[in-house]
Amino acid sequence: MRLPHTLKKILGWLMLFTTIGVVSCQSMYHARLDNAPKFPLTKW
Amino acid sequence: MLYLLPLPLALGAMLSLVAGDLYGVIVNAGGYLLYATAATWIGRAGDLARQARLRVSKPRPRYRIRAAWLVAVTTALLSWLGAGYPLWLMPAFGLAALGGMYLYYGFDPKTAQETAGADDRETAAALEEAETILERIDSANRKIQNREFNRRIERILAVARDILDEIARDPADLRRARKFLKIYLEGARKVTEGYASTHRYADSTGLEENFRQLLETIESVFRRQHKKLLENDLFDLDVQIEVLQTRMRQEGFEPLEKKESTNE
Repeated sequence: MRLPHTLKKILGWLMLFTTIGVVSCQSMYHARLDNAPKFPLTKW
Repeated sequence: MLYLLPLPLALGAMLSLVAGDLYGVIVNAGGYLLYATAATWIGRAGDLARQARLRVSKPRPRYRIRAAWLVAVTTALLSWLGAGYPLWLMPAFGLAALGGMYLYYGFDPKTAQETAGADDRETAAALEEAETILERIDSANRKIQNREFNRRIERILAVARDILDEIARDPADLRRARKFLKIYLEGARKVTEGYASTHRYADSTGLEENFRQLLETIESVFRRQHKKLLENDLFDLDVQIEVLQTRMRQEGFEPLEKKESTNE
């Protein structure tokens, strides 16, 4: 079964917005806390 | 969208730079660059779809799939390295991003080798013919000295090109869009060329009004056709085309009669 085009676009947009948005904002947030301990490779 | 969504990463890279945190700079700037690369690939995929109409039988790089995987891997890595989520969440982020890319941008149509056959040649010929008609409409448009009409015709051409892109992506659409290509595109060409060659000599507001109404009709049918092709639902399109065909015959360039003026 093929999803209607508009529904596909909305779903796709939501998924991209959530995933890319979350990781980008979190990464920026950690960068703001300079050298936040959560970075797994902080010994660099 | 792929340039805008990861903008916090660019900001994060700058903040890390100010803080002197090399790791933060690498992760944030690297992440942004990878997303930007994916965005460029998506753009190229669009250009290729346009070129592909003229030479369907040539193989072409599958930029959409590459971009989708790049976004998936970048998101997965960033979720761990940048956002600090646990390692086991990486595949979830990656898969969700991949799914999002598939739903939003779609993947590339099958390569020429996979689709080669009578259908492919038929599609290529039909699209080439349609492209020639569009070029003729475009050149007629340049002869028309009326900015409103020029803009309308440009919009019609843009929608028509989207429809051809859609047919190139999914040649199965050709069968359903054949009537549109044969009747409507050709009708639009005749009307535009006719107006372009006569409007300078016959300065009549009736003629203008008639042409305006026709352009409105054509634009709305083209938009509907595009929408229906995308939704794979041509239930009532044949009826619409029949109705509009009759209307074009009536309105074309036959003796003018006053019609209800539209709002625009």
